Amino acid sequence: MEIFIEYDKLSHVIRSNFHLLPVLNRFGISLGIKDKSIAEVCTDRGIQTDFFLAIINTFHNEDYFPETELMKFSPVLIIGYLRKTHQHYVDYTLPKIEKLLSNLIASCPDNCSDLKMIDSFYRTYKNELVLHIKDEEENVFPNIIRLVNKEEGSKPDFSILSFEQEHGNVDEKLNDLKNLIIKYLEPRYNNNDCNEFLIALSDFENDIKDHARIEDKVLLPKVKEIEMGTRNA
Amino acid sequence: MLRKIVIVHPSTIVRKGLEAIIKSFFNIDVLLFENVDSIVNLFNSSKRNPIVFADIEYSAPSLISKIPADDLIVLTSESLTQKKDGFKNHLSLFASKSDVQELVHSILKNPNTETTFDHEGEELSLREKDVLKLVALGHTNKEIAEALFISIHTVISHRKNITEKLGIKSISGLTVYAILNHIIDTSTIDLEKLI
Repeated sequence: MEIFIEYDKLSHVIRSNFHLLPVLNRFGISLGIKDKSIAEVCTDRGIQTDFFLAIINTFHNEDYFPETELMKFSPVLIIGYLRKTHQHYVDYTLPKIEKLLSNLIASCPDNCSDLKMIDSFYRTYKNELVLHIKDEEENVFPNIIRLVNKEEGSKPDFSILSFEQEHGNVDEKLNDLKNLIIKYLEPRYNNNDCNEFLIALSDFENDIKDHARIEDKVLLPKVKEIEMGTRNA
Repeated sequence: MLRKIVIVHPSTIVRKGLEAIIKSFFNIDVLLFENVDSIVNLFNSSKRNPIVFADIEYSAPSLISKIPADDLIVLTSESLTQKKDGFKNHLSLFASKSDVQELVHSILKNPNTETTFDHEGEELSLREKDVLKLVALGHTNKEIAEALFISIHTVISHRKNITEKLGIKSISGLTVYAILNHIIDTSTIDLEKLI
């Protein structure tokens, strides 16, 4: 799979993978970019080009994950991107998925207890996810930023280790939700409504996998490194 | 679930290249190794032997006694017409993509080889349904063990098999499955609390 480089035109990037559009938006880039290269667009908007490239390439290409390259970026920069991603999930993606799910339920002719069960399961998943996001936004990220700035008041017992296990559970449920619908749910609904729901779910799954990968494989090791440094100093 | 594929070759370019070609045709797990040292335990632990591509010089000779001839493919740098004695399957490094595709396909569909690598897709046994029912109702492993007069270890092993067969890992996901399949009676319980 292709790796984008700074001389590539941004329009080429978008045509190669439309799922990158929200990622571009997270960097404050909208369309109407003419024939500008990645480097030009980034310079225009004050975006660090190599960071932008690292993010779109890891998103575009599942096998591409330059850990050492990514590790050189400041946690503050990475957190900035992760926060935008959270915001996009909460403001746009989850409401969209919910709308598609309620269309799906509405498409079922009778009382549809099975689909209502799927709905409850989705809500359990969502609640967990939202709690997880909230914890990162309110505790984990601010603590990391304090740690990076070596500010007083960063909890001495704050350890990144505690948030490591959380991702597994959340991913698990999303995958279960897909499997329940694909394999076990009686298809008493409108096919198009179900397709749209599943496609949205699977797009979201890919996005959130990339997000978790950046947290687990870049932000976490990075913070551990800093933590070790602070303790030894 | 298809069997796994193992590629043993000292060259990264060969390993990655062959992996990319195989993955462009088949939805299959491919594991890459530089030499044979690290793959020995693979044959003891897994339930189903993988298909192994191995380089002729260093790896294949030491693997020939460990792997069924059908499962071993020797990678040679010679032209296709020259075959190596003692090995059943050959692949030249100058082979085309479709040669690779045909070879892998022929091994995968070989009727002599059983293709189920794990339990995915199998029906649940009656005992597993008993366990699933209690899991779905929110009981702990200890409670389930006591209720069914089995050890906790057995409960855990049943749960592992249930998850493998169904492709569902979370407890609330299993609860939904149990309800959809009428394994638990929904008239007597509060669904909202359970899921």
